[in-house]
Amino acid sequence: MITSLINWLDNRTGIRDLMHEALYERVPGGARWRYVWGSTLVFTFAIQVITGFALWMSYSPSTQTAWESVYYIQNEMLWGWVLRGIHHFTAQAMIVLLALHLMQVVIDGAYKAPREVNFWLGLVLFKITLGLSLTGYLLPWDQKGYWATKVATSIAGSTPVVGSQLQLIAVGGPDYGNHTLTRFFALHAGILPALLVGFLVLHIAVFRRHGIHPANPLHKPDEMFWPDQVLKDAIACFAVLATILFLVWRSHGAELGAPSDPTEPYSAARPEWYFLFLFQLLKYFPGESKVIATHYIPGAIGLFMVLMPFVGNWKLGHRFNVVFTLALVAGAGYLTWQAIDADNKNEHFAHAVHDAEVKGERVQELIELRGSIPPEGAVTLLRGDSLTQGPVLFARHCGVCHAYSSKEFPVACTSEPSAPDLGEFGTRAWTRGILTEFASAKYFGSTTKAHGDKFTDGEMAGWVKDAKSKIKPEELEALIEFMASQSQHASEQPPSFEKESQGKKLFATGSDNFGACFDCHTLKIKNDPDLAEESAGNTGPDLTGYGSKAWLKEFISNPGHKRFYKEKNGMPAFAGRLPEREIDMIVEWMTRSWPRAATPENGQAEKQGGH
Amino acid sequence: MSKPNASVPPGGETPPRRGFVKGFLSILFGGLLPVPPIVAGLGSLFNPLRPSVQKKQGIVGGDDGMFAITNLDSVTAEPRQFTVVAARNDAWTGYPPGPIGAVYLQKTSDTEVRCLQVECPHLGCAVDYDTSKKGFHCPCHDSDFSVDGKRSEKSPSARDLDSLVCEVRDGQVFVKFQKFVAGPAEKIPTA
Repeated sequence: MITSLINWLDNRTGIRDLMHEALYERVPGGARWRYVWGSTLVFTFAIQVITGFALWMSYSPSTQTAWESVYYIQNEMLWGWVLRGIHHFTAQAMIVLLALHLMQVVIDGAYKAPREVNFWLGLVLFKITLGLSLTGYLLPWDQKGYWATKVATSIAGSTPVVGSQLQLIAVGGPDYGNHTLTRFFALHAGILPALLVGFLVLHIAVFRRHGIHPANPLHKPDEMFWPDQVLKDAIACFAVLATILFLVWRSHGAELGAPSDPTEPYSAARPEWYFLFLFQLLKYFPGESKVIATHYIPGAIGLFMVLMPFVGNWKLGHRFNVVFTLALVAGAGYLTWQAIDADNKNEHFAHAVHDAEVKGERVQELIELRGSIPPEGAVTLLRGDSLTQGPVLFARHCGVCHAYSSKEFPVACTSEPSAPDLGEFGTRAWTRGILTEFASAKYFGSTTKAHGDKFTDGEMAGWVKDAKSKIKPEELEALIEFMASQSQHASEQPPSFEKESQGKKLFATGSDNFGACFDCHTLKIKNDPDLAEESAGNTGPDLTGYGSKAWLKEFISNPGHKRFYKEKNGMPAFAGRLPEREIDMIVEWMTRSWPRAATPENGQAEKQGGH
Repeated sequence: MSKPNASVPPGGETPPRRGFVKGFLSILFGGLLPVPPIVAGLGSLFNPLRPSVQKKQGIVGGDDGMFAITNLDSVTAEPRQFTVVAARNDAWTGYPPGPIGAVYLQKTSDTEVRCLQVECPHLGCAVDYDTSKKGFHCPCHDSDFSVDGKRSEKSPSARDLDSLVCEVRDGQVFVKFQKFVAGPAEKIPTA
């Protein structure tokens, strides 16, 4: 029954002869493991096509949707992380397999006549695969891919004569943007794969014309492609797949850095590992000479490889080719190791890599808190994130006078500090410091250079000096607890009510050991018998909600306001100098109240409003 | 040098069992190879079928599915179209509240409102209201509906214009905005 079906099919298509032709190729000298690399390359390419098609169904190549669609694939689509991971690691595997295949062909002399054309077809396939890797690297539109590809297109731009036009065509315009993505995607998903299939068909057809080039003398009796070589091929492909799947499992898929941002410095830019040798080579050719490393040396090597079949016609020539190829691989390997080693020893780089990881994780956290990504794209999330931008803005605008000494997020003062160190502002430690060491260098002692003894010999300094020897420890603690109730600092425990009430009393009326704070400082508490009204003296800043977001925002906006330092003020007013949005981010960062997920420790989730 | 293809296995007869085992193993290994990437790819293909995805996709919010449309004062006895504004999710993007559809609202009494879908239950075109004829008319295939949504005898539409649950809360009109499958005589909600 089945036989007659196959007969019917064979009569219409000639399938029996086709199968015979395909499967029963004679392998002189027997099937060998060293012949498997070509098949593994076909296999890995097939994996890329399958996974590529699936990714194509979910990927969107525009500056506002590329990273976002990859994020969706990675985190929301069923097995999306596996799909992406396989695609990523198979690309790496292809490079390794290409090197192995090339080495085997050269060492075994299978590039020599009559196989010269096939060798050249193979070189073309090599270049196409590298092109696929390069174009694919940009598509997630993350910081890593963006900056690395920028280098590559700049190199294209430095090509003699046609460089600038070449760069415009590659980038799709004067600057990276939507058209860069659409062009790279067309290359990656359409043009290059089509070329690869075309050249692969030619490569296999021409290979079958000449057959395997066996070692001389033959190792064993001849065998057949099917099943002897096919079995070795299948096992080799299986091993390659197992390796890829292991890597995918171990790293939970391919990485996705923070969304690309041309305005955000990115010191961790590196190409993929298989281009690191070129990256390293470039270091030896600074300035104008860089074109030697980018164009002339690779060009010369490429040209020599094209000529290898002719050189190989002589016995010495073949030996030279083998040595050349092995030296090439060894040289590239050595340069790669050098690059990795230099990076490992580079603290700056390690810092930049860590910073990039932190940002990559933070943007994912922000998306999870929001539940989705805004239409303007994920990059706007990091730009509006107080945790990310706080230290940057502080350094830029406040760091001229203030240091910010904190364990987690230290920001150094850009010059000699001329104002208090704000690292612990709003915490109990800060209050303790103000009340016990007001004139020390960490607090207002730093102001002497710019403001003389205005603060260090002022009324507050005087109060602190007097109270220091007389104030009782429990009175100090109570005052601190009361001030903690004003700031309600996000990183601290709420105050104990008993101590807070005690502190309130002491604030309002003082004790035998010190004058009341209320004599100089207003602290309005509605309907309170002592603190409902303004202070009689009112010479110091209003401490209502001192250390809270609202207080800090008003203060930064206008520290010279009659509510705060009045004529004594020494700090610029930032309302009008900074957009309100930036002041908000500084304030949110300084008060440690940036959006974060609820954890057992903090017990609260401060979700950013969704829409 | 060229032309090696011999159709006969070398050395005469190959022991059939050895060849069979090798062939079987080749098929086994080779057959397993495409499975992981294909399975991973199928995940993406079938992703839209997942209930969790269907739930997250589309219109967001609205208290218990009810969306505030307009003030009761803006509604007249004559049906008029009002835009439904809501936030929605589209794959990775969460859009802030914006227009996502429309409904016809008409006062049936001083305090009660009738709400009808704008989409024709025949094949989904947007239905017009004809003030002179005091009825709804679909421009695509000429279905006619009276002011309360009932279809006329000769309308190609299999059912009446879909009514939506509608409430007045504190002078505001709330509508349970949803869509129904175009075509059948039965009113079946989509998704």
